[in-house]
Amino acid sequence: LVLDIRIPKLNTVDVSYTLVEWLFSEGEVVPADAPVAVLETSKAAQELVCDRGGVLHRIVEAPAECPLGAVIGHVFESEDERGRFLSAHTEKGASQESPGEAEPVVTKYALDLMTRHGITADRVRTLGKKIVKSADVERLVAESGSRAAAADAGHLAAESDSRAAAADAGHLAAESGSRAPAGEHIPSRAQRAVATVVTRAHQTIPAAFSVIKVHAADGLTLRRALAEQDGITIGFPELLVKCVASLHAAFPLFFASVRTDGSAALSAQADVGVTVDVGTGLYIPVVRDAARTPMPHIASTLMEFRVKALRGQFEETDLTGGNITISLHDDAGIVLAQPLILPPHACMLTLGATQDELCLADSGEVRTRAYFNLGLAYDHRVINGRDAALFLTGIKRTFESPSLLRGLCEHDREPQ
Amino acid sequence: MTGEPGQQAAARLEDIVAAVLGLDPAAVVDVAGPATLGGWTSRKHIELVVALEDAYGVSFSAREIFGIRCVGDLRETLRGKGVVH
Repeated sequence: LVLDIRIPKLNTVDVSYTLVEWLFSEGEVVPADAPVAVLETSKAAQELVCDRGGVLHRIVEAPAECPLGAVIGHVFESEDERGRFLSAHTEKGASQESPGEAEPVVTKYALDLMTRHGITADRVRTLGKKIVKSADVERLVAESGSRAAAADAGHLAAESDSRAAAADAGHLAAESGSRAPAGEHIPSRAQRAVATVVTRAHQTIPAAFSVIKVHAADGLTLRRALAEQDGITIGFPELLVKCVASLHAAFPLFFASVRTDGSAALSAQADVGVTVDVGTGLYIPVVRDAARTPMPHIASTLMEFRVKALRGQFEETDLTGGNITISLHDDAGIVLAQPLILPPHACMLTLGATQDELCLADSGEVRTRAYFNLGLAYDHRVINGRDAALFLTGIKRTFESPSLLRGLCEHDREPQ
Repeated sequence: MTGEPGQQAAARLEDIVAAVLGLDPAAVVDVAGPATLGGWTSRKHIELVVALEDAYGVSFSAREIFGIRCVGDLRETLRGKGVVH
């Protein structure tokens, strides 16, 4: 018996992953349930586990870009079996699974670049590559000095801020070992993954948008109390994760997975994604079952996510499986941001910066009070404006009620 | 760090913390932390780490990042790395 080692689908974004390294040598005995290779998606590294033990035969050598579903190796029950396979393989002269003997596999991004810059298939074949990546096409573009490419990419570069461009250049250099031609900006792999998602979101989801003002005084008080009494450092994102998750039972559609026909699959729990960007790229890791997760654990989980973003240590499992997302735009002065909804989610929330406003106290004095704007983009195929207003009002009511807000955290203190 | 590293580094730490949290440097005392400095949120916590790593050329472990509860902890952590005296 032979087991194929295939490239699994690890996320909903990428069409190919990089085989970074094999963890066993050719012909080595692999234990059952052992990680046999390391894959890199656009956002994270992930070990590829082989659930059956045996003798490894590697078809694709690392590093290589591999499309989803590609067979990159086999596991045989015995060395004899592997030997028989290799003999037969040699006699036949070629395996259909061996990409080197067929037309090169061209990744989606490489194909996009070929189309955009007029690179022909014949030129790509001259590379002699089994798998043609965007970096390979970029090299051909650079060689041909395509003016159209430079103009096109220059437009993109003008749109991106310098920090993102620098980060992208870093990604690109890491991917291709070469820099983009002068005057040209070619997005990093991670940014291309973002592009894929937001393009699909924009094209497929008829989104509507509502915003609500939330007074923040009680949240600020609770934040200080948690820091003082429990030693927990949090911000409004942590409290918002808890507030939003607490509404899962009452507003199941906001946590649903929407199909293309407009029907929706309800989720069993609130798995809340939160945007994290510490200057190393945009990530959306997920706080699992946030309604039942104690606040200290939510706080440590989000801090762990920030550290992972900083160190580039995310695993694919951190980034998948969310059913609602909170997009953080709480940099000082940001009043509001309108998000795109990540398919197949039904909505996305945005948190703006905390601001001060003047108000008239009961005593008649003019005082300052803190507030933030909370935005909600929702898929109008499944959610109407009235429901959106009720959902936002539910969050506001909880956030502005000391007893409800504290109750969410007090409840956490009970034994699990 | 050159000259009088102890004093220079101590002043810089306070300046960096103040700049990241948007505070007067005078408010940045060793006992100050998230409970007393309103701007010290979880997000600012990681921004502090990034700023200090950049300024001192050091790296904080995840355990160190989680263990910081006040300015004094930041100072002790940096002292342990030999960049603050």
